Amino acid sequence: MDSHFAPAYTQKLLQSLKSSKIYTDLQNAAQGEVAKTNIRVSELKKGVQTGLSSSGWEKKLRNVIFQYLQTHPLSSYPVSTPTDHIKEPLAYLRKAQQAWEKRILKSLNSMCTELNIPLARKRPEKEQKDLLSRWTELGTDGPDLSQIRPVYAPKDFLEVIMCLQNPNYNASDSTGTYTLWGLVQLPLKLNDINKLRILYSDMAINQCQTGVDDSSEIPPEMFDSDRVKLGKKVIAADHGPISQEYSKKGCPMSLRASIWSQILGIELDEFDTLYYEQLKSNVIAHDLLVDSLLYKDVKLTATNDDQYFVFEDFLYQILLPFTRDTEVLKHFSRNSATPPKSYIRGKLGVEDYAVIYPPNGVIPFHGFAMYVAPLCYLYKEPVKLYYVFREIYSRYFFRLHSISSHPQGIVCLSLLFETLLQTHEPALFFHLKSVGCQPLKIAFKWLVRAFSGYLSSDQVLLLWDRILAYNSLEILPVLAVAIFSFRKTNLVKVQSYNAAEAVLADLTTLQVIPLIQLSLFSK
Amino acid sequence: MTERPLHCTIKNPVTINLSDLKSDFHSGCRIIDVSLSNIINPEVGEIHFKNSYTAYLTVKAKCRIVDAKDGNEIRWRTCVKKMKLMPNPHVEAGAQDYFVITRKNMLFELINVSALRIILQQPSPVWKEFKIEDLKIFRSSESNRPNPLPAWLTDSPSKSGKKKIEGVTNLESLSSVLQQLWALSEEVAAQQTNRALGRYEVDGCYEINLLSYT
Repeated sequence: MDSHFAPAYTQKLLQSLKSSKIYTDLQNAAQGEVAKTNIRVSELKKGVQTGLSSSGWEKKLRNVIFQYLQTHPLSSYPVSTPTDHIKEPLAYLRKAQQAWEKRILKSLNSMCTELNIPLARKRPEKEQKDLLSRWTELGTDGPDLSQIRPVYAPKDFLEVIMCLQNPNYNASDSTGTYTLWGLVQLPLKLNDINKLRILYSDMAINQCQTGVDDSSEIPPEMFDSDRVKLGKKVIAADHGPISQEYSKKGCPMSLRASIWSQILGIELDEFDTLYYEQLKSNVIAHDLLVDSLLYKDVKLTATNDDQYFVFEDFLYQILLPFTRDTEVLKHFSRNSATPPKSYIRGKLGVEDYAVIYPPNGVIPFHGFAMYVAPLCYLYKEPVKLYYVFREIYSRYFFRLHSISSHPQGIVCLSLLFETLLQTHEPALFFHLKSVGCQPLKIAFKWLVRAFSGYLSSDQVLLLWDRILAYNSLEILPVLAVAIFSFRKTNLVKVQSYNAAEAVLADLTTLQVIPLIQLSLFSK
Repeated sequence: MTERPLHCTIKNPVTINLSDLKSDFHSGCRIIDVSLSNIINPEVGEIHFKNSYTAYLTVKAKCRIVDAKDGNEIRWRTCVKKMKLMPNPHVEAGAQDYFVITRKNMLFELINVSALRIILQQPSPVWKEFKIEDLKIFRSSESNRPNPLPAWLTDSPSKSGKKKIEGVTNLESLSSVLQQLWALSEEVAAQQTNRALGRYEVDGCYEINLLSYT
């Protein structure tokens, strides 16, 4: 055992292993090994160990531990640290997040009161049957959405982030020495460009990349065919860290689905299928207001998008079960947000009847469906798609819509965007600021949606390759800066916010990988 | 945590100033004096506190040193030297974190200490205020220690703890079997699977009108 893992961490890992399926599986496999005739009693332990590793169980165990390490960062906090401090160490950001949540709750409540609809109700039997019969074509005959409006959009969220301030910061200093140029006014710790270069060194210009060198103009024997060959070997190895390493240079379209499930540790068994079926029956049993919000969101975003409208029915099959999935609640131990609470009707204030609403604790906002949409190109079975989405959401995307000081939270990403743009395009930044168009006002929606729906879908997937590979969202602000740099010639001529927005309205023609290389490595 | 903190007198922090320049001088240095004089056999194992925008922390101790030549001597010694609480004083990281100074961070063992002087430093001018909160001093450093790892992980030579019971009577063998059964059931109970059933209703009911603000 490596000594750099603290005993407490190893203890927790052991505990989680013991309660997971791999533990019983390993025990069964070990029993099978013992029963084999070629094992000598004198070397029982050794025999079982080699038997387990040669039959592939060691690799499976390694994969499970790898997933644990990916999702449970080593914490340096002393054991006695309170849990809310671990969720978010800065008190004023904790407060801001609470206030923001309260605003969302109020808006949801007032929608309920205005429209006179409950948050959740049991469906009558007839309705249940009807819904079940059209499960695969939910888009054709949805609920009445004319009165439903999205709870919030990225724009509203940006206004909250703009107003964040550290009460202990000398911003009111008369000289204004410490006031930042951008919209985010928080002194948070960021990676500078040199650290980012080292972090993303595998994306350097001298390295061949999927997304650049596999273009149809380059003969495949130069790069692409070898890349695919290597990728097939990686898939055969079935080991998370190898797949992650491979993904650093991008995944070929044909292999992406398998590589991603290996990185995320998604291996479906009967239990998972059963669990999804149960979520589905829960959707049929209860009608939730968030369903209407999701319907509305899909209609407003994916259905209007010529790249994604074909997946409309698919999206409902993912998003509706997602709201019922209590497994998602686990990510709140790492998230600065807390799930909304409510009481069963007529039992207000009785703690035994307190429930989380929605069951997964996530209230969707305008654009939420776009976290799922690009994945529809990868997986044709909804069950697989569901688990991949759930994992990606609870590892990465939840950070894009909660206020926190985490280096990958949206606040840090926004600040990183502003800082990088100021450092590398100071003239452009100054020009845009002086015509009243803070760059973040345009880029924020890109960041919140992880560029989904703004770039063409193949480019989104190439970008998300790198998120999974480097286990970090910091690539998003880097790309946003690259896009501003790339359109600089037009941007320095604009005189208004609308003109700047028009310059950056259509990003579907962009090639993301060369752009990221440009902004990271060319200066 | 079972152990109670040492009962000591913690004085208010004093900001270091130049005597002539009363107002605008930012020295970035404050001192907290802790007196342990009313404790018999004073010994300090752990110092717990919550940081509030202090960048570096130094601990000096007033120790009685037993010398062979001229008996006891009282001297100030530096026990923790400029420990980094904030990796970069200008930015938030570490600014509000909880810290525990253990024996590992100390340069020497704190025994026969009559007073501690804690020196806080914040070189960055961007913060209005810097201090530490919830300062607690503990005698031993045994608190907060996680349970030891299982022997097979730490690779220490295992000693078989089981002894054979001699002259087994029926009753004893029965009890040992029962004990095994009990141990098995305990183990099963302790290892609940982490695969949840995914229930969210209460008594099969999930009818909700409005969200609660508390």
